[in-house]
Amino acid sequence: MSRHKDETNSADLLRGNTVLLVLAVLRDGAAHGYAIGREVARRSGEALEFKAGTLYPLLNDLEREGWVESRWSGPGEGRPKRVYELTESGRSELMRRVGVWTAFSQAVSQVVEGGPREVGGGG
Amino acid sequence: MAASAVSLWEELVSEEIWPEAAREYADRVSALLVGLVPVDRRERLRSEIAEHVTSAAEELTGTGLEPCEAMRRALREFGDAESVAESFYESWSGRCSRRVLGLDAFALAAFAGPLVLASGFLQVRAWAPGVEASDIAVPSVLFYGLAPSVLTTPELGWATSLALVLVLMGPWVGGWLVGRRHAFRAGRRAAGVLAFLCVVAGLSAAGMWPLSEGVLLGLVVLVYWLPVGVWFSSWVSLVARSNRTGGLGVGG
Repeated sequence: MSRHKDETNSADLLRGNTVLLVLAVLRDGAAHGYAIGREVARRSGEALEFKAGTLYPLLNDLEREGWVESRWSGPGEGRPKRVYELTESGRSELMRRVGVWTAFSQAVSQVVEGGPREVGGGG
Repeated sequence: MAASAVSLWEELVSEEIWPEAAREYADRVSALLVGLVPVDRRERLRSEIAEHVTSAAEELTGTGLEPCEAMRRALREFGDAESVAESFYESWSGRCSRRVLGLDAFALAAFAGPLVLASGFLQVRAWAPGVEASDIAVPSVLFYGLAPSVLTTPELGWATSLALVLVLMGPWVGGWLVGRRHAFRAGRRAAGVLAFLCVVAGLSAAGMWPLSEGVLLGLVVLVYWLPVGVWFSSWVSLVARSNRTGGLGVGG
Protein backbone atom coordinates (compact mmCIF):
# COMPACT_ATOMS: atom_id res chain seq x y z
CA MET A 1 0.00 0.00 0.00
CA SER A 2 1.24 3.48 -0.82
CA ARG A 3 2.59 5.52 2.08
CA HIS A 4 1.01 8.53 0.44
CA LYS A 5 -2.60 9.16 1.15
CA ASP A 6 -4.85 9.86 -1.81
CA GLU A 7 -5.14 13.64 -1.61
CA THR A 8 -7.47 14.03 -4.58
CA ASN A 9 -10.44 13.89 -2.24
CA SER A 10 -12.08 17.33 -2.07
CA ALA A 11 -12.38 17.15 1.73
CA ASP A 12 -8.59 16.81 1.97
CA LEU A 13 -8.07 19.67 -0.44
CA LEU A 14 -10.55 21.79 1.49
CA ARG A 15 -8.77 21.22 4.80
CA GLY A 16 -6.24 23.94 5.42
CA ASN A 17 -7.94 26.38 3.07
CA THR A 18 -11.23 26.84 4.88
CA VAL A 19 -10.21 30.19 6.38
CA LEU A 20 -9.25 31.54 2.96
CA LEU A 21 -12.56 30.39 1.46
CA VAL A 22 -14.71 31.95 4.18
CA LEU A 23 -12.79 35.24 4.14
CA ALA A 24 -13.04 35.32 0.32
CA VAL A 25 -16.82 34.88 0.44
CA LEU A 26 -17.16 37.62 3.05
CA ARG A 27 -15.06 40.03 0.96
CA ASP A 28 -18.11 40.48 -1.24
CA GLY A 29 -20.42 41.38 1.61
CA ALA A 30 -21.84 40.25 4.92
CA ALA A 31 -23.46 36.83 5.04
CA HIS A 32 -24.91 34.41 7.57
CA GLY A 33 -23.53 30.92 8.19
CA TYR A 34 -25.79 29.01 5.84
CA ALA A 35 -25.24 31.52 3.02
CA ILE A 36 -21.46 31.26 3.44
CA GLY A 37 -21.55 27.49 3.04
CA ARG A 38 -23.86 27.70 0.03
CA GLU A 39 -21.73 30.37 -1.61
CA VAL A 40 -18.57 28.28 -1.29
CA ALA A 41 -20.41 25.37 -2.89
CA ARG A 42 -21.89 27.56 -5.65
CA ARG A 43 -18.60 29.25 -6.58
CA SER A 44 -16.80 25.92 -6.71
CA GLY A 45 -19.48 24.34 -8.89
CA GLU A 46 -20.53 22.19 -5.90
CA ALA A 47 -17.03 20.67 -5.77
CA LEU A 48 -16.29 22.07 -2.32
CA GLU A 49 -18.78 21.60 0.43
CA PHE A 50 -18.46 22.63 4.06
CA LYS A 51 -19.62 20.19 6.66
CA ALA A 52 -22.03 22.55 8.36
CA GLY A 53 -21.03 21.40 11.82
CA THR A 54 -17.48 22.65 11.26
CA LEU A 55 -18.51 26.04 9.92
CA TYR A 56 -19.63 27.60 13.20
CA PRO A 57 -16.52 26.60 15.15
CA LEU A 58 -14.52 28.11 12.28
CA LEU A 59 -16.52 31.35 12.34
CA ASN A 60 -15.95 31.46 16.09
CA ASP A 61 -12.19 31.17 15.48
CA LEU A 62 -12.27 33.95 12.89
CA GLU A 63 -14.20 36.21 15.20
CA ARG A 64 -11.77 35.58 18.02
CA GLU A 65 -8.89 36.45 15.71
CA GLY A 66 -10.68 39.71 14.93
CA TRP A 67 -10.95 38.91 11.22
CA VAL A 68 -14.73 38.94 11.16
CA GLU A 69 -17.39 40.51 13.33
CA SER A 70 -21.00 39.52 13.67
CA ARG A 71 -24.38 41.08 14.42
CA TRP A 72 -28.01 40.03 14.30
CA SER A 73 -29.78 40.96 11.08
CA GLY A 74 -32.20 43.85 11.48
CA PRO A 75 -36.00 43.68 11.55
CA GLY A 76 -37.61 43.39 8.14
CA GLU A 77 -34.88 40.99 6.92
CA GLY A 78 -36.91 37.84 7.56
CA ARG A 79 -36.05 35.50 10.43
CA PRO A 80 -33.29 36.94 12.64
CA LYS A 81 -29.91 35.64 11.51
CA ARG A 82 -26.39 36.10 12.78
CA VAL A 83 -24.58 37.91 10.00
CA TYR A 84 -20.78 37.93 9.65
CA GLU A 85 -18.69 40.59 7.95
CA LEU A 86 -15.04 41.13 7.25
CA THR A 87 -13.06 43.57 9.42
CA GLU A 88 -10.08 45.59 8.20
CA SER A 89 -7.77 43.12 9.85
CA GLY A 90 -9.67 40.30 8.12
CA ARG A 91 -9.22 42.03 4.78
CA SER A 92 -5.44 42.22 5.35
CA GLU A 93 -5.37 38.56 6.35
CA LEU A 94 -7.30 37.66 3.23
CA MET A 95 -4.80 39.54 1.04
CA ARG A 96 -1.93 37.75 2.74
CA ARG A 97 -3.55 34.33 2.31
CA VAL A 98 -4.45 35.01 -1.30
CA GLY A 99 -0.78 35.88 -1.94
CA VAL A 100 0.43 32.67 -0.31
CA TRP A 101 -2.17 30.56 -2.14
CA THR A 102 -1.44 32.15 -5.52
CA ALA A 103 2.30 31.60 -5.19
CA PHE A 104 1.74 28.02 -4.07
CA SER A 105 -0.76 27.12 -6.79
CA GLN A 106 1.46 28.69 -9.47
CA ALA A 107 4.43 26.72 -8.21
CA VAL A 108 2.44 23.46 -8.27
CA SER A 109 1.12 24.24 -11.77
CA GLN A 110 4.63 24.89 -13.02
CA VAL A 111 5.85 21.58 -11.66
CA VAL A 112 2.89 19.72 -13.15
CA GLU A 113 3.25 21.44 -16.52
CA GLY A 114 6.99 20.88 -16.79
CA GLY A 115 8.54 24.02 -15.30
CA PRO A 116 8.75 27.68 -16.35
CA ARG A 117 9.82 28.38 -19.90
CA GLU A 118 13.38 29.63 -20.04
CA VAL A 119 13.65 32.99 -21.74
CA GLY A 120 16.13 32.80 -24.64
CA GLY A 121 17.33 29.43 -23.42
CA GLY A 122 18.56 26.54 -25.59
CA GLY A 123 19.57 27.27 -29.21
CA MET B 1 -22.13 5.11 15.24
CA ALA B 2 -23.78 5.49 11.87
CA ALA B 3 -26.73 3.44 13.08
CA SER B 4 -27.18 5.55 16.21
CA ALA B 5 -26.89 8.77 14.18
CA VAL B 6 -29.63 7.61 11.82
CA SER B 7 -31.86 6.67 14.73
CA LEU B 8 -31.39 10.18 16.10
CA TRP B 9 -32.78 11.70 12.89
CA GLU B 10 -35.63 9.21 12.92
CA GLU B 11 -36.33 10.12 16.49
CA LEU B 12 -36.15 13.87 15.91
CA VAL B 13 -38.03 13.98 12.65
CA SER B 14 -41.40 12.34 12.59
CA GLU B 15 -44.37 13.36 10.46
CA GLU B 16 -45.90 15.14 13.45
CA ILE B 17 -42.98 17.06 14.87
CA TRP B 18 -40.67 17.79 11.93
CA PRO B 19 -41.17 21.58 12.12
CA GLU B 20 -39.72 21.43 15.65
CA ALA B 21 -36.82 19.17 14.75
CA ALA B 22 -34.32 21.95 13.96
CA ARG B 23 -34.95 23.58 17.32
CA GLU B 24 -34.81 20.22 19.11
CA TYR B 25 -31.49 19.43 17.48
CA ALA B 26 -30.05 22.88 18.31
CA ASP B 27 -31.22 22.40 21.91
CA ARG B 28 -29.32 19.11 22.08
CA VAL B 29 -26.08 20.67 20.87
CA SER B 30 -26.52 23.58 23.25
CA ALA B 31 -27.27 21.28 26.19
CA LEU B 32 -24.06 19.34 25.56
CA LEU B 33 -22.13 22.58 26.04
CA VAL B 34 -23.70 23.53 29.38
CA GLY B 35 -20.96 24.31 31.89
CA LEU B 36 -18.33 24.42 29.15
CA VAL B 37 -19.32 27.51 27.17
CA PRO B 38 -20.93 30.70 28.56
CA VAL B 39 -24.69 30.84 28.27
CA ASP B 40 -24.83 33.80 25.86
CA ARG B 41 -22.48 32.02 23.45
CA ARG B 42 -24.52 28.84 23.70
CA GLU B 43 -27.72 30.72 23.01
CA ARG B 44 -26.18 32.30 19.97
CA LEU B 45 -24.94 28.97 18.64
CA ARG B 46 -28.36 27.44 19.28
CA SER B 47 -30.09 30.13 17.22
CA GLU B 48 -27.54 29.84 14.43
CA ILE B 49 -27.88 26.08 14.19
CA ALA B 50 -31.68 26.19 14.21
CA GLU B 51 -31.62 28.86 11.52
CA HIS B 52 -29.07 26.98 9.43
CA VAL B 53 -30.96 23.69 9.54
CA THR B 54 -34.28 25.40 8.81
CA SER B 55 -32.79 27.23 5.80
CA ALA B 56 -31.22 24.04 4.47
CA ALA B 57 -34.52 22.15 4.86
CA GLU B 58 -36.42 24.93 3.10
CA GLU B 59 -34.00 24.85 0.21
CA LEU B 60 -34.30 21.07 -0.07
CA THR B 61 -38.09 21.37 0.05
CA GLY B 62 -37.80 23.81 -2.86
CA THR B 63 -36.13 21.07 -4.91
CA GLY B 64 -39.21 18.89 -4.48
CA LEU B 65 -38.41 16.84 -1.37
CA GLU B 66 -41.14 16.17 1.16
CA PRO B 67 -40.71 18.63 4.07
CA CYS B 68 -40.20 15.83 6.56
CA GLU B 69 -37.54 14.15 4.42
CA ALA B 70 -35.92 17.52 3.70
CA MET B 71 -35.59 18.21 7.43
CA ARG B 72 -34.16 14.74 8.00
CA ARG B 73 -31.54 15.25 5.30
CA ALA B 74 -30.67 18.76 6.53
CA LEU B 75 -30.02 17.39 10.01
CA ARG B 76 -27.97 14.49 8.69
CA GLU B 77 -25.82 16.87 6.69
CA PHE B 78 -25.22 19.03 9.74
CA GLY B 79 -23.65 16.10 11.59
CA ASP B 80 -24.22 14.36 14.88
CA ALA B 81 -24.84 16.63 17.83
CA GLU B 82 -21.91 15.41 19.90
CA SER B 83 -19.36 16.01 17.10
CA VAL B 84 -20.72 19.51 16.48
CA ALA B 85 -20.64 20.34 20.20
CA GLU B 86 -17.13 18.95 20.50
CA SER B 87 -15.81 20.97 17.53
CA PHE B 88 -17.37 24.10 18.93
CA TYR B 89 -15.99 23.46 22.41
CA GLU B 90 -12.48 22.91 21.03
CA SER B 91 -12.76 26.12 19.05
CA TRP B 92 -14.12 28.02 22.04
CA SER B 93 -11.61 26.75 24.59
CA GLY B 94 -8.70 26.57 22.15
CA ARG B 95 -8.07 23.13 23.65
CA CYS B 96 -7.48 20.69 20.84
CA SER B 97 -6.64 17.11 21.71
CA ARG B 98 -3.14 16.10 20.73
CA ARG B 99 -2.90 12.93 18.75
CA VAL B 100 -0.17 10.34 18.54
CA LEU B 101 -0.42 7.57 15.93
CA GLY B 102 -3.99 8.72 15.35
CA LEU B 103 -4.83 8.14 19.02
CA ASP B 104 -5.67 10.62 21.73
CA ALA B 105 -2.32 11.43 23.38
CA PHE B 106 -3.75 11.98 26.85
CA ALA B 107 -5.68 8.69 26.83
CA LEU B 108 -2.61 6.89 25.55
CA ALA B 109 -0.50 8.23 28.41
CA ALA B 110 -3.24 7.49 30.97
CA PHE B 111 -3.55 3.82 29.97
CA ALA B 112 -0.06 3.03 28.70
CA GLY B 113 1.63 4.46 31.83
CA PRO B 114 0.30 1.87 34.29
CA LEU B 115 0.65 -0.89 31.71
CA VAL B 116 4.31 -0.15 31.02
CA LEU B 117 5.03 0.11 34.75
CA ALA B 118 3.21 -3.16 35.44
CA SER B 119 5.03 -5.05 32.72
CA GLY B 120 8.28 -3.45 33.88
CA PHE B 121 7.78 -4.79 37.39
CA LEU B 122 6.77 -8.18 36.03
CA GLN B 123 10.01 -8.23 34.09
CA VAL B 124 12.01 -7.26 37.12
CA ARG B 125 10.53 -10.22 38.95
CA ALA B 126 11.29 -12.48 36.01
CA TRP B 127 14.85 -11.31 35.54
CA ALA B 128 15.75 -11.13 39.18
CA PRO B 129 13.60 -13.61 41.10
CA GLY B 130 13.67 -13.16 44.83
CA VAL B 131 15.27 -9.74 44.59
CA GLU B 132 13.44 -6.56 45.39
CA ALA B 133 13.52 -4.09 42.52
CA SER B 134 15.16 -1.45 44.70
CA ASP B 135 18.11 -3.79 45.33
CA ILE B 136 18.84 -4.43 41.69
CA ALA B 137 21.91 -2.83 40.26
CA VAL B 138 23.05 -3.29 36.69
CA PRO B 139 25.72 -5.90 37.51
CA SER B 140 23.19 -8.14 39.27
CA VAL B 141 20.90 -8.07 36.25
CA LEU B 142 23.84 -9.04 34.10
CA PHE B 143 24.68 -11.76 36.57
CA TYR B 144 21.30 -13.37 36.11
CA GLY B 145 21.92 -13.39 32.37
CA LEU B 146 19.39 -13.33 29.59
CA ALA B 147 17.64 -16.56 30.44
CA PRO B 148 17.13 -17.26 34.12
CA SER B 149 16.79 -20.99 34.35
CA VAL B 150 14.41 -21.19 37.28
CA LEU B 151 11.66 -18.68 37.82
CA THR B 152 10.27 -18.73 41.30
CA THR B 153 6.59 -18.31 41.90
CA PRO B 154 5.61 -14.70 42.47
CA GLU B 155 6.73 -13.47 45.83
CA LEU B 156 4.67 -10.83 47.46
CA GLY B 157 7.49 -8.35 47.59
CA TRP B 158 6.69 -4.74 46.99
CA ALA B 159 7.58 -4.97 43.28
CA THR B 160 5.18 -7.86 42.61
CA SER B 161 2.46 -6.30 44.74
CA LEU B 162 2.83 -3.03 42.90
CA ALA B 163 2.68 -4.82 39.54
CA LEU B 164 -0.55 -6.56 40.58
CA VAL B 165 -2.07 -3.34 41.88
CA LEU B 166 -1.16 -1.57 38.64
CA VAL B 167 -2.66 -4.35 36.53
CA LEU B 168 -5.86 -4.34 38.58
CA MET B 169 -6.22 -0.59 38.99
CA GLY B 170 -4.86 0.52 35.61
CA PRO B 171 -8.13 0.61 33.64
CA TRP B 172 -9.95 2.33 36.53
CA VAL B 173 -7.31 5.01 36.95
CA GLY B 174 -6.92 5.50 33.19
CA GLY B 175 -10.70 5.52 32.70
CA TRP B 176 -11.15 8.09 35.44
CA LEU B 177 -8.46 10.35 34.00
CA VAL B 178 -9.82 10.12 30.45
CA GLY B 179 -13.43 10.60 31.57
CA ARG B 180 -12.51 13.68 33.62
CA ARG B 181 -10.41 15.14 30.85
CA HIS B 182 -12.74 14.64 27.90
CA ALA B 183 -16.22 16.07 27.91
CA PHE B 184 -17.00 14.35 24.62
CA ARG B 185 -16.54 10.80 23.35
CA ALA B 186 -14.34 9.71 26.23
CA GLY B 187 -15.32 6.06 25.75
CA ARG B 188 -14.43 6.10 22.08
CA ARG B 189 -11.02 7.62 22.80
CA ALA B 190 -10.38 5.01 25.48
CA ALA B 191 -11.51 2.23 23.12
CA GLY B 192 -9.07 3.34 20.40
CA VAL B 193 -6.16 3.47 22.81
CA LEU B 194 -6.99 0.19 24.55
CA ALA B 195 -7.44 -1.67 21.26
CA PHE B 196 -3.98 -0.40 20.28
CA LEU B 197 -2.55 -1.47 23.65
CA CYS B 198 -4.10 -4.94 23.22
CA VAL B 199 -2.14 -5.34 20.01
CA VAL B 200 1.04 -3.94 21.54
CA ALA B 201 0.71 -6.12 24.64
CA GLY B 202 0.02 -9.16 22.48
CA LEU B 203 3.05 -8.50 20.29
CA SER B 204 5.36 -7.65 23.15
CA ALA B 205 4.24 -10.82 24.96
CA ALA B 206 6.49 -12.69 22.56
CA GLY B 207 9.43 -10.70 23.88
CA MET B 208 8.60 -11.07 27.55
CA TRP B 209 10.07 -13.60 29.90
CA PRO B 210 8.51 -15.97 30.64
CA LEU B 211 6.32 -16.11 27.56
CA SER B 212 3.27 -17.34 29.49
CA GLU B 213 3.41 -14.24 31.69
CA GLY B 214 3.54 -11.95 28.65
CA VAL B 215 0.60 -13.74 27.02
CA LEU B 216 -1.32 -13.49 30.28
CA LEU B 217 -0.71 -9.74 30.39
CA GLY B 218 -1.98 -9.42 26.79
CA LEU B 219 -5.12 -11.36 27.68
CA VAL B 220 -5.67 -9.28 30.79
CA VAL B 221 -5.58 -6.13 28.64
CA LEU B 222 -8.06 -7.65 26.20
CA VAL B 223 -10.63 -9.08 28.58
CA TYR B 224 -10.25 -6.76 31.57
CA TRP B 225 -8.68 -3.42 30.60
CA LEU B 226 -10.60 -2.90 27.38
CA PRO B 227 -14.16 -3.29 28.69
CA VAL B 228 -13.47 -1.73 32.09
CA GLY B 229 -11.50 1.22 30.65
CA VAL B 230 -14.10 2.01 27.98
CA TRP B 231 -17.07 1.66 30.31
CA PHE B 232 -15.52 3.60 33.20
CA SER B 233 -14.25 6.51 31.09
CA SER B 234 -17.71 6.83 29.46
CA TRP B 235 -19.37 6.69 32.85
CA VAL B 236 -17.07 9.28 34.46
CA SER B 237 -17.57 11.59 31.47
CA LEU B 238 -21.35 11.17 31.67
CA VAL B 239 -21.39 11.83 35.40
CA ALA B 240 -19.29 14.97 34.88
CA ARG B 241 -21.74 16.07 32.17
CA SER B 242 -24.68 15.32 34.39
CA ASN B 243 -23.13 17.42 37.16
CA ARG B 244 -22.61 20.30 34.74
CA THR B 245 -26.10 20.15 33.31
CA GLY B 246 -27.88 19.43 36.56
CA GLY B 247 -28.99 16.02 35.33
CA LEU B 248 -30.46 17.12 31.97
CA GLY B 249 -30.78 14.26 29.52
CA VAL B 250 -28.44 15.28 26.74
CA GLY B 251 -27.81 12.26 24.59
CA GLY B 252 -25.76 12.87 21.46
